[in-house]
Amino acid sequence: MVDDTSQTINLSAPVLEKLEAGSRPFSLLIQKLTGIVGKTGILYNADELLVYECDGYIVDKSAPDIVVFPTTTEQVSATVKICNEFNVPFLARGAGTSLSGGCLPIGGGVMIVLTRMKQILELNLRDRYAIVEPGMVNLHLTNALKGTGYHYAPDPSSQGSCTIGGNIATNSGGPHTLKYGVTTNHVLGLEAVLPDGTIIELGGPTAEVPGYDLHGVYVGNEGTFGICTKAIVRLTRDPEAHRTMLAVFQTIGDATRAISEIIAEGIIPSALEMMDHGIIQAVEEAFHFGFPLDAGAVLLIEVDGLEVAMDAEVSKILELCNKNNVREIQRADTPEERMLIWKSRKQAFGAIGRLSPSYCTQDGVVPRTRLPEILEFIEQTSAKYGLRIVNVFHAGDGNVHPILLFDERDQGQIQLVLEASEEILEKCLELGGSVTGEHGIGVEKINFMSRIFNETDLATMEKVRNIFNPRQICSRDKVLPPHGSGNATKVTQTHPARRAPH
Amino acid sequence: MSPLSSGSQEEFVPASQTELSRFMTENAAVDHRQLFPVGGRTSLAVCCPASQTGIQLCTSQLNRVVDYPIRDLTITVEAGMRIDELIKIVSAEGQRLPLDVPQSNRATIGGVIATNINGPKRFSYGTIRDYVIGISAIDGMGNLFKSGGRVVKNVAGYDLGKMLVGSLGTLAVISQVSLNLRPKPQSMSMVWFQFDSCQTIDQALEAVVTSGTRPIAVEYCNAKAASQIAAEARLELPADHHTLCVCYEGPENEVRWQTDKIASEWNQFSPLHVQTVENEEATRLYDAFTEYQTSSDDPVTIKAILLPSQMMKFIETATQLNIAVQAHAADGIVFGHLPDSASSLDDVQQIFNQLKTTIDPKTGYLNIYQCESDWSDSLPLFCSPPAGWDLMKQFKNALDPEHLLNSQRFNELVEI
Amino acid sequence: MKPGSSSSHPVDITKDPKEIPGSQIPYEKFLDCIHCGLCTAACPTYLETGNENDSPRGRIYLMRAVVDQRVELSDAVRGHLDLCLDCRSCETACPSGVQYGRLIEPFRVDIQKMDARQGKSSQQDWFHRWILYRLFPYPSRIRMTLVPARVMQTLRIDKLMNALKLTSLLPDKLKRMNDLLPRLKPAEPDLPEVLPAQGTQRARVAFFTGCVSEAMYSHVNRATVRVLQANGCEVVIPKTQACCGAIHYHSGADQAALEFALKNLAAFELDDIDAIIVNVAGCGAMLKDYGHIAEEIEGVSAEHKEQLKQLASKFKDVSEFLFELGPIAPQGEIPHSATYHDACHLVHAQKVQNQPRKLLELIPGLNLIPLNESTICCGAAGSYNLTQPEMADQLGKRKLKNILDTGAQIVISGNVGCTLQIDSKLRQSHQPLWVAHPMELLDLSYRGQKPAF
Repeated sequence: MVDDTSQTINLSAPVLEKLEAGSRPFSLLIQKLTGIVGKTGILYNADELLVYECDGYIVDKSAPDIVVFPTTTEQVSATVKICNEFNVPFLARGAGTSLSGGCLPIGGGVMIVLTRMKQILELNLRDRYAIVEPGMVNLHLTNALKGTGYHYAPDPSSQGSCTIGGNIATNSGGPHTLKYGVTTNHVLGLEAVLPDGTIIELGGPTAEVPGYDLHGVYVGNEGTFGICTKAIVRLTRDPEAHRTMLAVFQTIGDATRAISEIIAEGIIPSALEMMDHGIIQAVEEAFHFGFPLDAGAVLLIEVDGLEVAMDAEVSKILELCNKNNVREIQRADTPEERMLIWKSRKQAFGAIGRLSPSYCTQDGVVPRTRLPEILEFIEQTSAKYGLRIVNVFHAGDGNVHPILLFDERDQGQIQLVLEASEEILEKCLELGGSVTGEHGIGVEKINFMSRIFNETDLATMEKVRNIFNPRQICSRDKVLPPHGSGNATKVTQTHPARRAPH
Repeated sequence: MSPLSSGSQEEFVPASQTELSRFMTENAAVDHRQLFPVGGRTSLAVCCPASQTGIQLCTSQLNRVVDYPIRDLTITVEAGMRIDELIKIVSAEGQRLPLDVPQSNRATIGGVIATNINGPKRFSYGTIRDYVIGISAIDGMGNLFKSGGRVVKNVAGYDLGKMLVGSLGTLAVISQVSLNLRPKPQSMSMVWFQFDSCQTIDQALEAVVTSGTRPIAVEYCNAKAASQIAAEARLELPADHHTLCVCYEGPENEVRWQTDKIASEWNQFSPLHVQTVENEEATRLYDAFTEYQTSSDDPVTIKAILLPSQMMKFIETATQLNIAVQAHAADGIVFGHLPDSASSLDDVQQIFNQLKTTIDPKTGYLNIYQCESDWSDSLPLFCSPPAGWDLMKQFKNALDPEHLLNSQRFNELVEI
Repeated sequence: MKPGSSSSHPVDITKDPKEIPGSQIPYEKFLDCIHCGLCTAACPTYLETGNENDSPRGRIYLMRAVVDQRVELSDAVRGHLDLCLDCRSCETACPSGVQYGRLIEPFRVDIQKMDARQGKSSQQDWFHRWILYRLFPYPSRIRMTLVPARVMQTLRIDKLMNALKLTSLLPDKLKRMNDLLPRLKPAEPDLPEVLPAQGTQRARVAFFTGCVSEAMYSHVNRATVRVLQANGCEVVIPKTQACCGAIHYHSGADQAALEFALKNLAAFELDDIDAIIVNVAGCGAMLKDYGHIAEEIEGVSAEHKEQLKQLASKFKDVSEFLFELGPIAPQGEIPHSATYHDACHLVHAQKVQNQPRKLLELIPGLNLIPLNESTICCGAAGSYNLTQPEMADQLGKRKLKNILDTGAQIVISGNVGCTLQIDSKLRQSHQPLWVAHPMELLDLSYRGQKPAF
């Protein structure tokens, strides 16, 4: 427990299970943390901690005991050192948009909220990088680059509010990953505060650094390797032109074949978003875009690149869609027409909201050619459980997001949603895929880890985690399942998440 | 299979990943022999050759295609798969792994990952780290582990593949890898520019940042390197001055539009010569650039990693020191082949010291890339330690606690 | 604390629902929020504080927790709710169609009513009593009040007072109002009740004059009417129309607001006109909400509810209307650079964003420069400027910086509140930019005149 007289940190001391509000260690901790971040940088009253009890994943809730808002790396480091001294767990939070409970403070403790560290520290176009603080909102970086001819490529659907620090923690994707890659492909280096408070730098602004690619290992750690305090990211040249098309197909199979043939032709579309007939019906009920109600799939195809190449690419795509029995195709050549086409995709979620009081968006991946199989399976699952399930997803990557509609006030339905989700994810694995393409393991899918990886895989991952976080004091009980069985902090799912559009 | 004797090193050629794992487990438990994973042996001199005795783990029999779902644009192969073989297999389906690998008739995919070999295309396509979607490897204790998977988008678990990229066989022996592939482009052209000075080159490179074209690669070579590259490509190209060679890929009309466009954009820098190289000649020229960076006739090859904006200062000094310089110019990656006149260790060290003065140690690295083994003990491998040095040691201790894997090379990595 | 458990207060089932603010709000409206967090960075106060309690998602969470009796309406909780600008930026960002305004507004009305019952109503203080209720709804009274200000400005006494720091002797809120006061133009003569269309008549519209705008910016109202005429609209201006009631509604006086709504219902002959044109975003948002508000206020008859819904559907922002009508291109050149600021009550509350830009693009010579964070509130937000001065100043400065970064000579704003705030911030930093209404620029261009600023 806490030794008031000594500053030494006993690394073998167990992390506190509970920090009693009003207790002496609690008051001391608040006093010390206030000394670091000031009175306006700390919250510790229950009524102001409530909003931090969950992120975009609302199945499990656990409020932190204290929230701090540091403004510098040194403050983060000092906070982390104090937490170690008091054996109190801590974790970082950005915008709190995680869909897998990445910022759930299991066991309470100190939450380090990075939203006040949001400056651009350097923009260097010549050397194609930017250095930003972790609380910078993803879209704000791209906004700051407007007019330079460059942008920051990873654009998760939550890019208007999620932070770059959070993107690094979860290796975020987005609708453009097929062509432009995910976060890890765009991070050159970073500064982080390790779970013992040490400040380290990994990678750098150069194209590569000698030695092991540790910033590469760091990306996607879901907050368990420490707290990223600075990111050096690659900037990407803006495409000169866009073309957007909306193709209506009779079946998912036709649409999937069209995608494969387009790519085989050497064209990598910048976006390939598919809506299945369930969501087409929902969108039609709500907004009357004029899609045929019996259509099997609507595919939004966007290509970008040099203006000189666009027309040829578009006519090739049209040809291949025709070859695969496209029923009708709508083209957008002006920015306004492009907006209109994207509107149908973006409003899909609003449409679901009108159909059902609650919905749960799952995140699974299959090899792209197996899309017809997984969608057929989802349809069977829907029938089996008597649940309406619709699909709108990133078809280019085989990343499906089945949306299960239900009423959260009906306990029976909740159980069905959980079982159906699990069956769908199991099927994704069976088809050679993964249980998460972009939302992360977090606490939500921790029970799947031992189904994806064997003991040696997990042990190796644990070795790596322990290099960074030997005490498990930083974002405890995430990503890797706890050792053995009957662990007290194991999270079991009791309730499906109602989750955000992706 | 029994280890074959090879000088001071025996050789073990496993027939399967499990056999390799078993062998390594036993070695860690009983023999504690030093192990040296080798693929095509094209990079034994990279970061200096190992001179210890021990056992070479040769992956040549681990060369199977495990899974190639063609239309998914992914392939899973064993780590000993030769690059030319891999190219042949995917090329037949109109696909490619968009990386440049010298000596591809010997190099293996596992070796490419372990050495992080790359070339001109890295400017637009990135490096091997961007294509590994799943990996299996065997650590120093013989544990066969994997991370990632076979789908292109996957965030389940930690990305252990990254730690093996460039790890030079010091953490684990890579045994199997899943790769993301890309479609092959329809055509490729290069434009060969000659400029009068490093300053002009620097201006042209700055202009590329906002060029209306989207180059696949931007290669620099000084006169000494240019003449050798042109000769290697069997092309009549002027090579008396500083050369920038820009590469474009795609449909023919798009490529032609871009080659014309870059010529008009760079006209303001008064190039001494502009020549577009197309078709089969372009492929030859491109391959010459790929091979040249590691052409190992010279006693010492250096590699500098710099910010592009600071690169020409370094290159100017290197050129004055009679070094043949090639650079992936838009990425700030410079290779220099020291002249034959640098015949003693003293000469080399003197050159090194002069080059170092042009590098900001905070944002630049100067490494010995290849050198003769008898000099390796006396030459510093790195000018300055990269970020995360202490953590790297901990990675070594975690995955190879007995320091059985290529440990001499690791010591060279960590002991500066 | 273990996951799954939550720090909830014991629910007091004996508590009178009237003592629980928000308990009358349909619970589904809370459930619409799926807690995705896509709204957070659209919220101006969250951008400033980074505190989830000051974000739309956080505020919904807090309101729902109050309704669920998980937390008390403590000073801290109330402070976070009071800090909301009600700019509705979050509604634009929300993918699930959460009607945030329909949560925070009735919730605040409940708080005000509870306060009134406990005798600590903000309606009781001098500022609300005299300034907000007695002065603002009535253009004639505002105009009268402004007479001394006009005289002082003419004689430059105001500058002298500022120089001598005499203004610092004023109560804080009056001082802030004084700071906000623009360089006033002479009041225009009253508008006639009917103005004819120019050329072929294409529409017949009524014009809503507003209270603050008619008093301080009567020239903008004249410009708006001229633009409508130039576009072939006959314009009727009923004398009996009243204040929209927004200030009252938003400070909890819903019955007063309802009275204004009913006055307006009586004033406009709906069958006779194609639309009722509004040129102040704040009023427009309130007027278009009459239907919703009638549903929430107690004691509104079914007939009135239906009529107010119909009235609400007739209101159009002037840019929205002209864009739909098909504007006649103006010919006069305005050779200046300008930047367009999105008033919250236009872009978020009314979803009017492209229309004013499209109209402005028609003006020859006018160079429109995009404004960074153009949809983030300038801090004016109705009476917010007076009730939350610190945050209003922070947001004002943020807006000022973004405006100055554009290098434009003219700032264009379609809302009188924004115009006051931006103009005040510009004057405080001695910047010579002109803050204009889109209709002022169009009017100049139609009339072939050049701006003088």
